[in-house]
Amino acid sequence: MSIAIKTTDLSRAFADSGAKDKNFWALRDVSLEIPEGCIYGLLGPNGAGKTTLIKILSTLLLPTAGEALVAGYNVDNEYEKIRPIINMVSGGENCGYGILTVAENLWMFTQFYGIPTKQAMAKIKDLLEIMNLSEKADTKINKLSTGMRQKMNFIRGFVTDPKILFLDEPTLGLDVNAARETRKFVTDWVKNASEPKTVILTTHYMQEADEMCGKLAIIDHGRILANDTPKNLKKQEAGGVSYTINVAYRDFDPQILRTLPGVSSFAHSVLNEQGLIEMIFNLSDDSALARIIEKINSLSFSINNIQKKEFTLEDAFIKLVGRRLSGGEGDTL
Amino acid sequence: MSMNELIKNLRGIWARAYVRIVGVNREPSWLIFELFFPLLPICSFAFVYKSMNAPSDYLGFVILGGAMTAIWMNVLWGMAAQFFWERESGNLTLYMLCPMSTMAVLVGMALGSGFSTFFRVIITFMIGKLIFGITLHVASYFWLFATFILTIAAVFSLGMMMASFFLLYGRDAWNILTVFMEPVFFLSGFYFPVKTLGYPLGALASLIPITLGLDAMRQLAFKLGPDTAFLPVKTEILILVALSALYLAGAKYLLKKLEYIGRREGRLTLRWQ
Amino acid sequence: MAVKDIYRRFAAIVKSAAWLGWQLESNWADPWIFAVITIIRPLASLFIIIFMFRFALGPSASADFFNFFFIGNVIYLYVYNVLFGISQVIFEDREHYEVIKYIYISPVNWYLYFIGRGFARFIVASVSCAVTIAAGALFLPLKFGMSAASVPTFALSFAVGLVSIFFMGIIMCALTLVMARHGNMMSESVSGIFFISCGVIFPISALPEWLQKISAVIPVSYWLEISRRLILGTDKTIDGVWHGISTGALMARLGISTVVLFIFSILFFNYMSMLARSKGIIDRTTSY
Repeated sequence: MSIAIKTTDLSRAFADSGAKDKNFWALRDVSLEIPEGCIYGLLGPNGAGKTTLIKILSTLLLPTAGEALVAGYNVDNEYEKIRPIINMVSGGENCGYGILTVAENLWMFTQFYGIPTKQAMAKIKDLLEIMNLSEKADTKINKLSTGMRQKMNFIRGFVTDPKILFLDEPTLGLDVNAARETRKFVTDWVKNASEPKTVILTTHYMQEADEMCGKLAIIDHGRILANDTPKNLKKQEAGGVSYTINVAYRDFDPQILRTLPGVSSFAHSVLNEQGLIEMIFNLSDDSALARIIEKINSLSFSINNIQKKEFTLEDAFIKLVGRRLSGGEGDTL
Repeated sequence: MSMNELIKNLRGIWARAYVRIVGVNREPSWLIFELFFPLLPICSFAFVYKSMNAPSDYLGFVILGGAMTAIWMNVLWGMAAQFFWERESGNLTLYMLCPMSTMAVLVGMALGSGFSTFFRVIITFMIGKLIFGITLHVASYFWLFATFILTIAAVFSLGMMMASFFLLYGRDAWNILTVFMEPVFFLSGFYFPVKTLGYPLGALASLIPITLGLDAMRQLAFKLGPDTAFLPVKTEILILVALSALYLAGAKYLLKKLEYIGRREGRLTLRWQ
Repeated sequence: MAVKDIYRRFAAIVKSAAWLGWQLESNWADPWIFAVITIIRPLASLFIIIFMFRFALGPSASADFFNFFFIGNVIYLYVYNVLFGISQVIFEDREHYEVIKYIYISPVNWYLYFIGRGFARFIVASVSCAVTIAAGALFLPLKFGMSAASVPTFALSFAVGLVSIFFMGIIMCALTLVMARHGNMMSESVSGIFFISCGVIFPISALPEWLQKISAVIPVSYWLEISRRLILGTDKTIDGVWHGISTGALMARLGISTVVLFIFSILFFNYMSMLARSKGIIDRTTSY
């Protein structure tokens, strides 16, 4: 499979106005290989460096150090070859001119890519229909709601049929239905394309990243902390599987389970009102569960409840970054 | 430039011009701000000569200068400083992403304003004729038209050079651009022949293409024009050709160079500068 | 609320708006660059007229003509700067900083806010004025003839004149509330109205009669003539429309026209504000 984007030790510093002669590193030694034909996610909190990376890859910003290749072209000096095959959509940002209608604005942008008007208008019509915006085609964009303007901006990214598309928080500010439509549209666009399409998606939303991305990188403080499929990230980074087991606590000593093979971590608490003891096991694999059940049974205690906990991307994120994506000190583990 | 590139840029020019053309149509308040009000200072300067009982050709000089004001203002605020607003609205980022020449965007802006500018020029001349009784004595329509076109070409190129600074700077460039208002009206002799400034200052002012363009057009359009000539028309036309080429090359270089610096310093997408 | 409290509240609005205006006006550049740019434009305007005179009249240009347009220009610096400063507030807050909706819904008194925002331009105008007068006195044949007795009258006319400009600024703001942004054309527009109608650089008597009637309702026309008489120390004027009218009568006309303007500015601003709200364009942006 060909590589759509490759970065090697990519770094970007900005002068920190708050501190003299000091640089703030928005990106640090980022090395990535993004294959063609996939949706690649960049997941990270605010200020992690996601947008900086997108700006470098979309030729708007130069790296301070390292190299970035987009479709094999260097962003530094071959940007003129990159621009015809890329596009970018930033969620929550406006584009176009309020005085023009939705269709006119979209047409204008197609002209900047040299697309013949007839072809462009047909494409615009299709996309407006898919995104349920046909009714507003002839409405001036200064009369549109924020969500509709964002939909139009979103369509603008696709109307030029780019090979590589950068989506920077594309569902920011959209309602649940519109966000769902948007995610489905992107997924279908990549899946059904006649030639490989690559989408680089930055997002705050775990579910969005999990649902859409074939592969994703978790980024924080300008560094890539992990880079894999969502499934593997959940498995590897969260540390296997987790079970909660409740047992009647009278005379039961949970410590005897701690040393069983396959138990990587263990915690327990007493639920006085129910007369139960709740134990949370992190297991390296499922087979350790059988040993725990066997041990409890051998001690003649009855198991009240067993529940398998599915690890989410958020668990992986918390483990890697040390805090929830929503941030806040209270969330720090 | 390949044929494909050329077509792409021409499409870009038309698309950007379309925004302005539609804007003029849908936002009629431009008639007040870009047509009616700007005519008032021009009339005021004509009244200055009238109050001194100056020859009617002097009023004509003011009218011609006033007409050229429309073009200069279009270049300054409709083209050069437009990048300031494009940056604020987020469109500059998208222009930079497009595989189209930045010059095409700028030419599109200027041509898009062409209709309102042309309308203003025509109305200015009508006022000159109807209110101040100006009479033209055109020596050569061909050379008058050629000088006008050359002046426009050189001024547009200069405007593109100025626009390039807005790729890096925001409010500071905007404020500095205001220096190209009254001081240029003075140096370029918008309301009096540049010869009055004397040769050293006139020569310096000739770096602004409108100076020689105006002087040549006054010579070609008014009876008293040749009496107030700064340089012979042919010399002025030759210098205008040279200035057009120089500024066009300068614009191409600066737009590319400053875009590069903007990318390096992260200022292309910086808002509220 | 006690008068003292009201005063404090009003003063706080003016002070913060003035601070904001000054920051927006001046913080983009090194103070020296700011000063040069502030001074260079009015000087250039002055030189345009000087060279027009030189071209049309040559050395025979009379001192009366020179004094006429010179004082007109100096006073006009205030007219232009204060009016331009206030009239740009709506465009700046709406289109550039996009904060107008927040200011609009706040309980701030718009008039006080505009006064504050115009204050920065008043300072700019004062600096430009000082430089222009110094240039006139040092390098040009400007002759002062103001007597000590005229100073209070001059100060009063100056204050009333400034207030009238402020009310005109409110009218411009009201207009811009419902208008799209048109580049930097506001400055031209503002110049145009006063240049042609108030006898800034040529006598009003040179205007057609119907335009002279318009001049008679604009306070600036009176302010300019009063200033000329008091600064030069003579009632002799080259503008025929003022012959036979005493300075006291001009002061009265200045006062009355300013009061009328005040009432009109309130009504007009309220009407335009309602219109902008009903059209839903309070916070629109133009950018085309």
